[in-house]
Order: sequence, then structure tokens, then C-alpha cells
Amino acid sequence: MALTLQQIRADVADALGEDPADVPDDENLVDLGLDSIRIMSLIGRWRREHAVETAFVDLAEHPSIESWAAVLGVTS
Amino acid sequence: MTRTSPFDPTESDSATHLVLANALGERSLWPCPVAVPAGWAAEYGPASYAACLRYVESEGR
Amino acid sequence: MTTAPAAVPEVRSLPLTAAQSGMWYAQRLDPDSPAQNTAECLEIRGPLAPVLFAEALHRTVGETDALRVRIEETPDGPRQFAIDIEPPGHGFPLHAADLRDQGDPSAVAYAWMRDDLARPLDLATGPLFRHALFQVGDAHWLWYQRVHHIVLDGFGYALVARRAAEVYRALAAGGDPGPSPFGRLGALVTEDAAYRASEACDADRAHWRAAVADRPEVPGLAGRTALPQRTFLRQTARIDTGLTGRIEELAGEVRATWPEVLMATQALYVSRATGSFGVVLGVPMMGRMGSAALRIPGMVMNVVPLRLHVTPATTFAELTRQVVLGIRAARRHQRYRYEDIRRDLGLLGEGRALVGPLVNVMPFDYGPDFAGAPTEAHNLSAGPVEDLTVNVYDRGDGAGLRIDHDGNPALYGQTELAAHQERFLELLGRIADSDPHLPLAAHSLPTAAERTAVVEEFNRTARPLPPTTLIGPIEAQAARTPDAPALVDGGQTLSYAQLDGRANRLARYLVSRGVGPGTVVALALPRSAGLVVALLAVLKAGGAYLPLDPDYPAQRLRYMTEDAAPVCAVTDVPGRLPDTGLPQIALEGLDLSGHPGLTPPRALTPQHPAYVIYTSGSTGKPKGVVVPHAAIDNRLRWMQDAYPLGAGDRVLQKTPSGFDVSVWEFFWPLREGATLVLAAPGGHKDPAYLARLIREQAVTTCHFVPSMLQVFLAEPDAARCTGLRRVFCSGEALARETAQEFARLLPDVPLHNLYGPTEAAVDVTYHACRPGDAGPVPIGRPVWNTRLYVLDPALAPCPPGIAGELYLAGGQLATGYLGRPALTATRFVADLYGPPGTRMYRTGDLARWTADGEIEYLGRTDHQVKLRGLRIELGEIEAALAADPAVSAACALVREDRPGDQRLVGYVTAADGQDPDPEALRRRLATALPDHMVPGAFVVLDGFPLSPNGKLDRAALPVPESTAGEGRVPRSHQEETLARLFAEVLGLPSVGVDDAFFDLGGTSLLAARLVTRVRAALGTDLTIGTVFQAPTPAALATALGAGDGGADDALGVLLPLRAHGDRTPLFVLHPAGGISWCYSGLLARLGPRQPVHGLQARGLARDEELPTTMEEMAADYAAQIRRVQPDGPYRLLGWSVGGVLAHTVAVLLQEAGARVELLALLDAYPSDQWRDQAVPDETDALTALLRMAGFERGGELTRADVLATLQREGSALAGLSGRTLSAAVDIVINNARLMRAHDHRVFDGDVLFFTAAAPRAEDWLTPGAWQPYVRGTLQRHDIDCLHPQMTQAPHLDTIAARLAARLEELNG
Repeated sequence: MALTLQQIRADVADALGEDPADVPDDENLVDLGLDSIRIMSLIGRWRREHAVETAFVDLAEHPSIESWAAVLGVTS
Repeated sequence: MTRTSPFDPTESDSATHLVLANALGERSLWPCPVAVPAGWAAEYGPASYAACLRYVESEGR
Repeated sequence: MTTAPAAVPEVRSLPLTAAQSGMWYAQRLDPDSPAQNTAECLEIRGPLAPVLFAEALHRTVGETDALRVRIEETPDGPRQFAIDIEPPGHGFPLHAADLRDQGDPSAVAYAWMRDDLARPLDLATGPLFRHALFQVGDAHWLWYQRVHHIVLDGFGYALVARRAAEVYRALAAGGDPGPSPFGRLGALVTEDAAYRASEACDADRAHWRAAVADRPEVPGLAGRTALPQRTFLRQTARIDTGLTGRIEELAGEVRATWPEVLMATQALYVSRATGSFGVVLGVPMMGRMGSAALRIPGMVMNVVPLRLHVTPATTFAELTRQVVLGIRAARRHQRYRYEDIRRDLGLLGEGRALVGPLVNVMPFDYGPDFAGAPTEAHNLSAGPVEDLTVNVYDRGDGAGLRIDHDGNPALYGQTELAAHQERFLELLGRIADSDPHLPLAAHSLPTAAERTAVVEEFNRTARPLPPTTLIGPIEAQAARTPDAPALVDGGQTLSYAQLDGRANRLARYLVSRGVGPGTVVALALPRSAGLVVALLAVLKAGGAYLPLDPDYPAQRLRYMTEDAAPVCAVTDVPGRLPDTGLPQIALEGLDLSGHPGLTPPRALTPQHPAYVIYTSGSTGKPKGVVVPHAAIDNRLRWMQDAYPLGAGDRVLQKTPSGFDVSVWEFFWPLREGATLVLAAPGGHKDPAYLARLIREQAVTTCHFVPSMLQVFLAEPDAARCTGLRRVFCSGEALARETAQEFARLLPDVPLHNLYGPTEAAVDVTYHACRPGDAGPVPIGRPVWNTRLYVLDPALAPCPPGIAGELYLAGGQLATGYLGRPALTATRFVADLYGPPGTRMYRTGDLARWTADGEIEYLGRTDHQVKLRGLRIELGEIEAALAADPAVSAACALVREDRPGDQRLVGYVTAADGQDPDPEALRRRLATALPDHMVPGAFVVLDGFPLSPNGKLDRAALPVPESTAGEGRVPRSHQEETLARLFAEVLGLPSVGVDDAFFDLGGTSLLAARLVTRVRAALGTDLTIGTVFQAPTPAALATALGAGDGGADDALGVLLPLRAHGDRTPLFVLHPAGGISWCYSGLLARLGPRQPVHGLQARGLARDEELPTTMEEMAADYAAQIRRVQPDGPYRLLGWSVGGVLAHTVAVLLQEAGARVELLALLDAYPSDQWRDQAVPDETDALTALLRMAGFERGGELTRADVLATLQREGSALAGLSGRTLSAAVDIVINNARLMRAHDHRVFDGDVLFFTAAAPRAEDWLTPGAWQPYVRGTLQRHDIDCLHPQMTQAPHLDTIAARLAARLEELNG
């Protein structure tokens, strides 16, 4: 199943213990508690569930949902 | 350096303590989070430390 | 194949980033230390081409600016300079070796690595990295990377390793590795500089300043801090996949990640291991999120403090929440350096930590891929270890997590580290299997094996005993050996039958007065056969005894008797206790002949109380501990089993009956057919007396409080007490040095250290001291039917080696505090680990188990102290101080500003508009508290010092100043020298030139020392008399300068001990020898406003005719007095003959119409008591002279002998000339003759009488003999000493305190 923006938002919110509605797409996720562990677990999740491969550095460089969508090649 | 003990007086009004009693009628103050030992039962509380002392004082005479 | 690209343009030189600066300064602390290395070993399984590998590394290094620098100090600070790295074959720092021919290739490789890691890198020359490639198998390689932490952190490592693998793969495939993915070091430096100049940095600084503004205590598992060493200790373990899975599940349940769960567990561990609710962990952070640093290898990481609050009521879920939110908040400000926070807080120089243990979790990221060969990374070093770092690695290799406990070897041993790790992992397992919403109180630190040891194995002391009482076995023993000696008191010995008979008679009398089981009888007798009889009698009647020290202030005695409500009191003489309405039974003159000497019947059970002993109370009033027979019976049965007493044993009774050590002294020997030897009252303080008594009475068994043992061992005769078979210490911590000194002086005498509070029948633990043992002396193992628990703040057991609060359980617990149900309920609490329904007593002592089942005492958890073995609640003193209307708040403290010199100090702040006077405070406390609880110094402060969190900072209370040292500057070398000598002799930091010697606490004895010192220092001759005449450094300098080294006026009839002061003068009259110097010790206590004049005998200073009647002498003195003070009211005091004279002078003054408002007699007795005694001869006179100096006559036969003795003992009287000494002997004889011939008339007024109450040869002397000659009352105070000791410290001090109180009343 392909990765969607909505899925990204839901997975990120889950990793941060927040409600997806409380995570704006342009918000710096570090401020919400994003750390390398959580990034790694998302990378692993997206690999397992959507066969999407990303590098840690690519996500860590611009930690926001909208940047990640771009990196992951997801448009909606 | 001093250490605090769960049996030290606290100024707080929160219900942090119990008064336990055994079959001989002996009473013991007790901190709420710690399990009540066998052979003892809670007779009063949870209540504030001060309230527990007042209870023992009035019952113990 | 492409050629190697041209070298990347040089860095030239750059400043360091803040992170690098931190590392730079750390390295400078120990330039030769290799500790700042980080190192990894990557295990590669598969084919590898070494030449290609070297080339790949070389290229990667070429792309990594950070690996091509050296660092050196410049005038602008340390800078990093670019260096060239030689290619492989020309010096590239890669060591390659094929070890396949070695027996154990991996071991050889790792040995090489360890060796390399121990060699420091030279920062100034570089290169700051080294690689090695070992072939340990056909398809098995070990790639060693070692880099100085100043250039690369863990993230940087991973970047470099991954790029090296990428380059290798490209080269191996014959392709192009592509352009460098890395940014420039310069960019890192620029970004760092920009941050430090930014508002974000200011905001971060402010955040951290606020976060740790209260400078929290940072508990560490070792209990202290140390600098990082050159090596570290590592303990490695695995967390298997099963547990890892459960941890992850738990993490999900509490909405956190598994590293956060690990951190929460570590916080719980640290909290319980240190007994602290506040914990600060250190969390390393990579610091690269959203930064260009993600693509630039370098040193960026930082450690942030994480403050957590862990209480027994907190749940694990709540704790984890704290971790999550705490890290989240910290992360926003993580760029501000750890070293800078420490510097901002001023912690750098103090050895104070900002964080406790570090928890460093490294998540899994795909390892570098070398052409398809799997790799496994092993960390060899993560950098210097300040305290403890817990490193956790997830290598994603299906083998779970690896966990390293890295410890600073200056703080931890390997075994200790292993224990911490094992406990941590077991705790983790238990947490993973528990409900996270339960209070953390459910968890504890010990491993399962440790818990069994401390709760059960160490406490296997159950021993069934017959249900006897304290007194039953004594009566049984008396029946078995009626004729054996039971009691030795001075010259008197009582057999078991005699003692038993007397006690029975008294017991029956007591029964007739209402004593029986469950009642209390107060006892106030000095140490004597009568005391022992009374103790036994009370017990025989079935009652419990309450020992009262008659020297306590009346107010305190009244309180105790009202509180305990005894049915009666037994004393030796009438008037011993103040009148409180309590029936007092005086043994003196009591006719018990009507009572049979048989054991009275009684319905006594072991549950009935045996004794009630009062201990200091923290809220202001003492409390009575009620100890039942069963408890003390257990204790004595155990003692007999452990140290068997036989018929030949003789036990010394020297501990006052108000201290529970005396219980076994009194009763143990009488239960076993041994003999009880009583020391003289007050004798327990005199080591020379004790040594003599022990030898003369063949004592085999005795007790010392450790500080008194030290004093005893300093006594030359102590080493001759070889007849001792056992010596016990209890009441204070026993210093190893004292035990060693004991073993040195008495090598064949066993020394035992015992411990126990009054609340647990004297002692509950025991330890036999062994010569050759080192470290603190343990208090030992539990006695019979006793359990010991060391508990953490959640009442969970502490494992061996971890400190906690000591709780006692078992058959020796007291019933409770008399009449204090609430206090009893807070100290005698439910026993969590014993049989159902039992109790444990919380001691308030800090302690820990050793690995083999002994307890080590570590101190108190509260404000109770022991001063020379006496238990004092500082709160009781504080309450007494605060009760003074001039005082707003009070604090008491035991200070040890000079090693070994402990003193009690009281601090107060003034109430509005009030000016508390230290002397007045002292007097007030003396009326409420026993002497040992009255502070020696009082300090009035404007306010109490507070710690940053607003609490009283006791450590910041100032050292009490003596008022000495102020005043003008010395005018001459002589003044200066004298001031210094004064200070030395008085033990003060300084003395002002106008400070009077005796006002500062000087005594005649110290004056003698001063004379010796002055003679030695200034070469001038002076006598004690000079010191009396010129008691300040200034006056003395003048007197010496005037060449007037001698001053015979010190022997004149009128001796101004203190001539100045606005109070009514006190006149003190000489004792038998005619000299009044002995009263100089009163001066300090009476205060500088109280003038004191001494009357001395005619004939001392020059040849004069001696008076022929006492009347004549008294009239002479009265006239002298009127020269100083023409009109009344008069105040008179006299010791010995001086008292008789004082009475006579008082009568004369009254007959002349003057008023006498104070007549104080120190152990003086009227003529009729002496008339039948022979007039003293020369020998008697010599005795009297020695007594005046405070000594008993030993072998002195001639006047020369006496002089020699006085000189040897450093007596002030040694300064007398031979002529004066002769005159003194004549005066003694004359005075004795005159006194026998005198007829007293009546004094109209009250008399303040001080008795030397220790038993003496002249046992017919009684203060009652004054009755016909005194129209008022005789107010008696008994002093626990012999007659000659009355004018010596501490007895004179006690007298002076009472006197001062009386004078204060008169002053109005």
C-alpha cells in the first residue's frame, strides 16, 4: 500500500503521542518531541508497511511533515 | 545530609497516610503507596499526616 | 579505474567550536591521558580487498576535514590547523596485519587495540585518528577505528564509516564513488559561531540558568565526585529479545519510546540507591536535528541535564511522562553547552556535579555495507567517564540490546559495577512485567538473591527462650549461691543473700505503698549499694523503675515525674528531689525491720514494664521509653551466651542509671553469680581513678563510650588493666583508631562494639573487633530474636552496600513511649518483613549491610546527635531557645571546628525590638535542660543563612566568635607576644590586648601554663600572682616591663580576682590553706559584670601573727570586706574552712546591722562536726594543702614532696615560694585548731549549700548539722565529686552555673 500524506501525519502523531489534528504540517517536529529514536522507528515502520526506504539524514535535515512528504515522494 | 522518611511529618493536606492497627490494638502510621503488611489493617485514612496523628492521639488515650 | 582526485582544498586554520573547546580544556587537565579517545571495532564477515580498503579509507579521510587537523594553542586561543595525511604506503595511519597464523587471531587483534587505546594522541601534531585492519580468518576482518573525541563524535563516526563503505563498494565495482557527500568543517564552525552570537543562545542560557537555579543536590551512586581517570571500567551485558520486546510493549503502553523507559528505570534506580527524591540524569544528545551538521563529520554532541522527581507514590507511567516531557523541553535548548551551564552555575571549581549518571542510548541504523558482507559493530570506548555512563546499543542484529555500564575507576570497583548492572537489569525485567500505573513503591533494588540475604539469611536469629523476667533469674541465682559476693561498694561487700534480703524488705515496704506490676517507681540515688537495693526492690515488687538524675534542673525533674506518674520516689536522703507532691521514700533512717526478707509475691509477667528511661525529645520535651521484661531478658540471655560470665567475674558499674547501658551492668552479673563492683559516684569521668579501681578490684568486664575509651587509653595506667576479660563499647561510633589503640595497649583483652537505641532494650547488634581489620568498625550482626532491616524511602530493602535507614524488629522492642500514642505510632511501625502483626522501630540511623551480613553505621538522617555518648535531640534545645521571648527563631548544632573538639552551639535570631543576651540564654537553658544539653556558645544572628531553595543552610552557620580579639592593636612586641600566648593557652583564635584572662575562661591551672609559656617566650620571670594582678596582655606587658616580675599582692589578705563590674561584689573566703586562687574558675561563668574579691589568710605574703580565734579572723575579714564595700547587702561564698568562715563573717555583718543576701557554702560543715576529730598534724596539713590544689595525697611525706607534686601536676600553687608553702602548712594547722574551738551563732537567712556527694571517709558529715545555726532554709545541690574536686572543672562550672542563676535573681 502506498504511503499517503494522511498516513504520514497519523504515524508521526502516533510516534509523538499527539492527536494528528494537533500536528501542523509545517511545525518543527523537534519541538513536539521528535528525536532520533522516533525517526528511526518511523523509518522502520515505513519500510515494513509501505516498502519505502529513507535515510535518517534525509528526514533529520528538515523535520516537518511537509518536508518529509517531499523527501518521501508523497504528494497527498 | 538529612534524608526524608515516609514517617516524617508533612505540612501537606493531601491524603498521604493511613493509620493501621493489629490484633493487639497497637497502631502504626503508614504511608499510602506502600503495601499494608500482613496482620495489619487500615483503621483510618487515607488522610493527611496531621489528621492521622490526631486520630491516634484521640484513640490512644 | 579513476585516479584519486586532487586533494580537497585545505582548511588552513579555524577556531574551535564550543563543543571542541570543552574537549580541549578537558584534555588539558591531564595532557597525557588517553581517555578522550573514542574507538569502534567493526567486524566484517566476507571477502575484502585490503588494498582497496586502504584506498577507500584514504579517500574518505580526504573528504573529512575533521580528520585532517591538528590543534594547538595560539594567542587567540586554541585553533585547528589543516594537516596533510599521507597516502597508503607512505604513512597513512592504517595498521594492517594478517593474523591468520596466530593461535587466537581475534585475541591478538584486540590486545593490539587495547594497547593502542592506552597511548595518547598528540593534539599539536596529529593525526588525531588511527585505523587498523586485521585479517583474523579467511573471510573475517576486524576494522579498528580510533579517533580523538575532540574531532569526531558518535554520529560523525557513523557518517565516516558509511562513506568509507560506499567508496569501497564503488572502487570494488570499478566505478566512481561520486562527489563527497560531506559539508566543510568551516561550515560547522561558522554555524556554531552564529549560534553563540544569536538570541537563541541567550534564550537557551536563560532557560538552563532557571532550570538549575536552585543548584540541586545531584546524587551519584558512589556518593562523591571525582575527575575522569585515564581508564574506565566496563561491565557488559545483553538484554535479550524477549525482554526487549516486553520493554517495547511497555513503552507503547505509556506512550514513550524504549530508551525513555530505560531512563525512567535508571532514575528509579538512582533515587532508591541514594535515598533522594530528586534525581538528575545526563542525556547525551547528538545536536544535529535540522542542521547542516547532519552531513558534516565533527564533534557536536552535548549532554543535557534531565531533572526528575521520583517518589514512592509516583507511578512508572508518570515517571516516564516526566522523562518524555523533560527531554522534549531540554531538546529545544540543547545547543547550549553542558560545560557552559556548569561554568554559569559556578560548579567548576567545587567538584560539584551538574548531572548524575548518564544514559546514552544508540538506536539501530544500518551498518556500513562492504560489498555485501555483513558487519557488526563493537564499541571499545565512548570517551571519558566522569561518574557512571549506561550505554545501550541496538545493533539490529536480532541479539537484543547490548548494555555497558562504564564507571570511573576512582568511584567504582568492577564488582560494584557488576552489581549495579545486575540489579538494574532485574529491575527492568520486573518493571516490564508490572502494571505501570501502580506506585513505584512496589519496586525495589535488590536482586532476588540479595533480597533473600538481607531479609532472611542475615536475620536468622530465632531462639526460643523461657518466659522469664529481669528479676526472676536474679532471685534464682541468689538461692543458688547465697554466700557469694554480689556487690562491692567502696569498702563494703554484700553477699547475694544479704543483697537479696535487703531488697526483699524494701520491696515488701514498696508493695505496702502501692507498688506492683504496671506501676512506676522513680529512683533518685547516687551510685551506691542503696541504689542497687532500690533497683532490685522495685523490680521485686513488680514495678518498673524510672531513674532520675538529681542534678537535672528542678523544672525537668518535675516534668518527668508528672509525665511518668510514678506511685512514689525512692531517694537516699530527704530533700533529694524537689517537692512535687510525689511521695518520697528516703532510705536514710528507714526502718524496714518489720518486713521479712523473703521474696514478695507478685503477679508479674514478662510483658510488664521493667524500666522507663527518658530520652531527649525533638519537639521540646523528653519522652519516656517503656521497656518490658521480655525485651531486656532476651538481651541479657543473649549476652550471657555470647560472653559467658562465671563466678569469678567482676563487672564494673560506672554508667549512670539514667542511661540504659547501666541495665546490663547492674543486672547481668547478678543473674550469673558474678560480682558487681560499683565505681564511686562521679568516678566514671576520671580515667586515673577507673584504671586504679579496675586493677584494685580485679574487674573483668566493663563498658566505655568510645570517646571516653579514648580518654581512658590516654591514661598511663590503662595498659596495666590486663585483668580485663572483655570490654564493651556502645553509644557512639567507634573509630577504628581507637580500636587499634586499644589492641596496642591491651592486646589480650577482647573489645566488642555494640549498638542499639533505648527503644530496643539496650543493644541489638554486636561485633568483635579484630586487630588487623581496617575501615569503619561495623556495628555487627543482630542478637537473638532480633531482625535488622536497611530500607529505602519506599520501605523496600536495600541491597548490601547501599545506604538506607535502619529499622529494628523482634523481641527486644520497647512497648512504646509513655503517654505518647501518636509519637509511638510514628516510630514503632508495622513490620513489613516479619511475622504478621509485628512491629519495627525506625532508628533514624543511616546504615548499610556488608556482603557478609554485618551492618555499618553511617550517620543520622535527622537532627539527633550524640555528644560523648549522650543522646540529644537538637530540636529539644531549639525549642528551649525559642521559648525565650527575646528570641524569634533558634537552631542548634554540634560543631567540630577543631578535630576531636565537639561542642554544642546555639544560634538565635532576635524577636522584634529585642536583644538576646547569650549569658541570659545560657542561664535560662540551665534551668530547663541537663548540663550536657546546654550549648557552650551562643550566637545571635540577624538572620539565618538560607540555601538557594529557601531552606536553612546549617553548613553556612558561622563559627562562634569569642569576643576576644577585638580592641586596640598591640603597642609593643611584648603585648603582641603576650596576646598570642594568652590565645594559645586558652585555645582561642585570638585575644585582644585588653581582654582579661579569667574572663575568657582562664583557670588557675591555665594561668600556671601561661606563666611557663611567658617565661619561655620572653625570658622574664613572673608568678601567677602577677597574672591575677595584671590579667590582660596590656597590663601584664606593663607589669613585666616595669621589671616587676613578682607580685606578692597575690598573697595579700584582699585578692581582687575581678575588681571591676557594676554588680554587688561577691566575696569568697579561703579554704584551709589560706589561698583563694581556687575560685578563679568562677569568673568566666559569672560574667564580666560581677566583681569577685578573695579573702586570704594573714601570714602568706610576709611574716605576720596568725589569729588566735576564728572570731578574730572573721572580724578581720569583715573589716576588709567593708573597705571594698562599705554597705550591704553582702554576698559571701566559702569552700571547706572558707565556708565556716563565711558563715561566721555573715553573722558578724548581720550583728553589725548589715544585710547578707547570699551565703553560699561549698561542702563546709560547722565546728561541732569537727570537734571530736584530732587536730591535724603536719601530715594532715600536707593533705589539706594538696586538697586545696585539687589532689588527694599520695606518697608525699614532706613539704618538699608536696611542692614537687604541685609542680609536676602543673598546679598554680607550684608557683609558691618555699617560704609561702611553709606558711600555708602552718595556716592549715592553725585554722583547724581555731575551727574546733569555735562556737557558731545563728545566721538569719537562707543558705545555698553545695555538697561533694561522692562517698568519703568522713561519712558523718551532713549539711543538716547547720540547722541550729541557720534561721532560713538550706537549699541543697549535690555535686557528683569528692571534696577536693569541688573547685575544679567541670564541678566548679556546675556550681558557678547555679550560683549565677541565684545571683541573677538577686540582681533583679
